[in-house]
Amino acid sequence: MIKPGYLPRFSPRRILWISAAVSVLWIVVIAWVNAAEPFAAGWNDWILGILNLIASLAAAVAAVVVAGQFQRKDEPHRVWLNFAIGLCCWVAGELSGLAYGAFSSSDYYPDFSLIDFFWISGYFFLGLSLYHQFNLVQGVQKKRGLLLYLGLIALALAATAGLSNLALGSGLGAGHSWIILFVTILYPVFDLTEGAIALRLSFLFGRGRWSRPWWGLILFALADGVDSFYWLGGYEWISAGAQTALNTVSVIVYTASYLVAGLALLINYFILRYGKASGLFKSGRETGLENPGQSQNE
Amino acid sequence: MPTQRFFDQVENLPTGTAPISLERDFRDQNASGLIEKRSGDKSLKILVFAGGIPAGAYKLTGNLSRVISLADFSTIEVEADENIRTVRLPDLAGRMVWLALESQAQKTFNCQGENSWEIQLNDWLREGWSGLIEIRLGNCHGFALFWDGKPQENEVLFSTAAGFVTGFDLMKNEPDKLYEVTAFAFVPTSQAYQCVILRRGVTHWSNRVLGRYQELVGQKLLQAMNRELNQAMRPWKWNISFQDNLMVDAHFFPYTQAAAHAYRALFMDMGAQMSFVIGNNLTQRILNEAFEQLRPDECAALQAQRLIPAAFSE
Repeated sequence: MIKPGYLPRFSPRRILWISAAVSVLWIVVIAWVNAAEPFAAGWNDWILGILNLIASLAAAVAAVVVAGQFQRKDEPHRVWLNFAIGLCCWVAGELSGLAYGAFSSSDYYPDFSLIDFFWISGYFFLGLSLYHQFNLVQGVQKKRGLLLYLGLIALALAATAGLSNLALGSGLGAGHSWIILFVTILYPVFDLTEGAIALRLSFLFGRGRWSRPWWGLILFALADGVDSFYWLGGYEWISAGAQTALNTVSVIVYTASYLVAGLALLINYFILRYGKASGLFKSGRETGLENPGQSQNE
Repeated sequence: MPTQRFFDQVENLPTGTAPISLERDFRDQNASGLIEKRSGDKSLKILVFAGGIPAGAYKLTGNLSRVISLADFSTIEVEADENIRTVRLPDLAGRMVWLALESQAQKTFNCQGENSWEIQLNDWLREGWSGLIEIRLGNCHGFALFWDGKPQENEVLFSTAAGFVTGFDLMKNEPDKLYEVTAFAFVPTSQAYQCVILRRGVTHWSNRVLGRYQELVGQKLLQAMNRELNQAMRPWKWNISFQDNLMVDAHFFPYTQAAAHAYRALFMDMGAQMSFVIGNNLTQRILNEAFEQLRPDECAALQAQRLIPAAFSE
């Protein structure tokens, strides 16, 4: 039994303003560290990594509390639970990236590391979240089972494997193992697919509050798009200045993706938890319910 | 329709005052109910009140009900106090009586035992029959609204010595008793039927919308919206409530315009809240999809009152 909404101890609106201000400050610090490199060699990357880890952790915590607002029987429970698991996987990915950097004695990374495992798991669960949300939007009659999603994932993996073989056969990625090539191709495939679905969902939800957590995934796909552009050799065709600009955009958008998702999830959490008492619902337009002075039977 | 009093289990209000003041009492207290007058020609004249407003006056002779003017009703002289009866009724009971008076009795038959009642229910289901039935069962008297062959939840009501009860449980508890059943066919041009079809259309539409909204946002946000709608309606004293993904309309609106005003306000509020959470596009889409699933006559009734999807999203 869900209790009726009650008043929060702290004003959600105030908490959100503070969170938004901290997020902006966060991005300014990220941009500054990336551009000015104020610390000793190695430390800049380490600090950027820590800042990204905290941002991802904040988004994951917000996703977990949002998922906790749904009962298991609620249809959206599957959406937000998978979203939360996906973000937690990415937190683990960020953490393991930092751990490799801190404890590895050289620049050597295994062909398929724990980092890749977490990133790919994150894509899997975030994709599942998008899949469930999309099915919910499409309606009950068109609802599909998990099997179809697994089939789509298998198809994506098969297509990526085919592309990897093709790339190796044509001499691309020389000196790298097949698995590295596979993972390198897999990321943009996932980014493109999930970014496109998130964009579609975002358009479907329009200006509704439910659209906003998906903005984080769109930004993430954009940030990764710059990386993919680099891996595809796109940097050879642009000037050094443009390269720097793209790098800066990528670094900022990457962190912003976590912060935007986190803030959007926090808004949804307050709306779910406190309803109208959150103070986040806009004041209603004239609906005809405001003026009972005039008899309805006139 | 037997020339008997409706809901004779309901306590008669004191009739020591002049009939005109009884009418005033209904108006002053915004009450629903009816005044029955039995005059010299043995016919029964009935004035039905909906929340203090006269919904109509009727002359009932045998099974035949005929509309009479309110003025004619007021001027009817009764010889003795026992020939006038005034009862307060819940909105649901009042509007059932009103609908019966504005419908045509099709047939009256007896039913005994659970089996024969089940057979009758199956016949109506097979035919997809829509109409009103009146049931007399021992000391109980009730009505049930059938739509597409099915009794409508929240539209089945019995008056018993212990008060009003909803649903068919009463009949299940006394399966071997003899029921006297009268089936009424709707008169499409009557105000009571217009209100029924508008109410069914709105109820079906909103239930589908609420169900889809719940699928998208979950139970909590649905409950928040229900709470908001219930709260916004309170000052209006509409006997309408939202529970989970169901709209329960037990209000007695005497005119379609009055009902449409309430429904429009509710859908506007609902649309605004849904738009805030899931956006205009999806709100519009859900409203459209749910609207398209309604019966053509329900759609027509809603459209006639400009209760259409485009009117309720920003």
